[in-house]
Amino acid sequence: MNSLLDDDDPDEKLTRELLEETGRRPPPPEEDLAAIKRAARAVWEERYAARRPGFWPGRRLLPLAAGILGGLLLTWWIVEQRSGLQAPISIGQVDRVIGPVVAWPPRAKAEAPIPLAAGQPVISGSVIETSPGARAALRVAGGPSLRLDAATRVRLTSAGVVTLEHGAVYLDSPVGSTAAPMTVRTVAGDFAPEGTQFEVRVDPATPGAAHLRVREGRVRLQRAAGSLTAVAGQELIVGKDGRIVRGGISPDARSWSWVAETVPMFQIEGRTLRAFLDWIAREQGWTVRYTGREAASAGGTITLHGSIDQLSLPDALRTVMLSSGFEYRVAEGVLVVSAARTE
Amino acid sequence: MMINAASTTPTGRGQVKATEEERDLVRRMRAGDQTAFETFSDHYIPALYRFASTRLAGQRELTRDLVQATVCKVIEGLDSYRGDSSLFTWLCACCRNEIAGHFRREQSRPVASVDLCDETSPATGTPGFERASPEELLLRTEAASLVQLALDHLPPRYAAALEWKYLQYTSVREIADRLSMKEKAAESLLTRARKAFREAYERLGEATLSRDRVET
Repeated sequence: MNSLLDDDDPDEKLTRELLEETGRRPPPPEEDLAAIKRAARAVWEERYAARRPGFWPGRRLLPLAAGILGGLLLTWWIVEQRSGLQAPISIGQVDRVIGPVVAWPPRAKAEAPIPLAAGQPVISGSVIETSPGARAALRVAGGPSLRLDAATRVRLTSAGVVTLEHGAVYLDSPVGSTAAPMTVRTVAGDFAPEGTQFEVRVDPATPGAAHLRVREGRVRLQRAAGSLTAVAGQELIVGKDGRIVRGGISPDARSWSWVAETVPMFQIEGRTLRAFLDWIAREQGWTVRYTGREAASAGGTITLHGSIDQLSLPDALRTVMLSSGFEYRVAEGVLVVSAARTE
Repeated sequence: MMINAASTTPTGRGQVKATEEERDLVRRMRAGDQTAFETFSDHYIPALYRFASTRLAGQRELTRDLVQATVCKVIEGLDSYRGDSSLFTWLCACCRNEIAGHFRREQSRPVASVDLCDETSPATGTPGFERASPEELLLRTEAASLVQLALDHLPPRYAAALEWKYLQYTSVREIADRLSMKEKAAESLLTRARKAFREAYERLGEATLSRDRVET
């Protein structure tokens, strides 16, 4: 017989009264919880998932395996070419992979995808997918950086178009990039950059909708109903009914942080301090300001050595500035660099 | 980054060792068991968030950042977890260290530099680790916090079973179905859960009364 009361249990009264008086434990904000879980999963998969029997055995051989697979892919494509089909084009390479990321070659007949690793070529027509907690950075030939957030699926439709099926991509086309601008295609429309950094996000739970945020430059949204342009600091929210809401987004807002986590690290060896600061400011959405002539001129003459590959962006900045003998602070989106005070 | 579980074990009295269920959960997480990770993620992360939130006066961004840092470090250091304390106690201890470290950095930050790990860092004169509140609010919220904290200290199934029974008025039969066990086993589990809850509540209550406000 089921009963809510159990007079034989001395703890029953206390438990019931306290819980009824307190109520449910408050759940954390969903967005925060999701962010923490994503980060936790990435760490867990990186460290322990490989121990699972059958999980990518020989994981340490992944780079070698990736190279062999890349070679097989090219061979397959050459054979396909001889059969008269259009040759796929290599449009760049994988710069960085965090967690499990897989790819399906174009016109792949097999169901099983291929694990992606840094250094592999990126072929037009292929589909790339990041698992929850995983991210990837691709370098398009000519300069643009295409970054994929967690749980994202894209099709590299051609050298100039990436189709975002779900998730989020961030495209960074720096000044001096020689490649044609890369358009992000979604069901809500085509987002075409005009020398810029921007993010497009598509949520599978709201089909037909998309969310654009522009960090630098301009992005044009092209749709059957017409086109719209968003400039740096603006966001466009395209609803599933086609209505558009325009808002603002700061270039150094915390919500850009996933982009910084996927960044291919700057190779400092032989580069100037100024080049490093320009790079990190771009990644963080800051502008750089030097206080004093000494700081400004030294930035262009100090040459860096070593590597920051294993560091986060904040740690990299702290380390480089410490070793260079400069002080810095960030205030309202400005990275202020000054010569160290002498006692 | 590896962390040493022994150095983060709290020094309070009446410390409870890990249950076999918790040891098994950690073992399975280390072995790459997806289900174990999901259990950890679904139960311990929200519980840790609540723990941190009450100590950070609800500062949401800071709570998220510090909890994320804690969880990532804990997961990296799972190999060093020996079960000398319960898993949640260990998590809380690590979290306290993160919180204390954050406020130490804030207080020692020179004017000409900034800790880029916290873009929302408060102005100088950061409040201490435990922020004071109006007395009546403190009494009310502390009592509720104690109950919630006691629940968070329980193994996931115990906490869930108690909330189902006393907050959702779920029958023992349905609790048994949800936990995939026989009704008799569910009754035993509820009895154990109530006992564990009472012990946790009392232990945490004593710790609150005699708490040393200087962080380790």
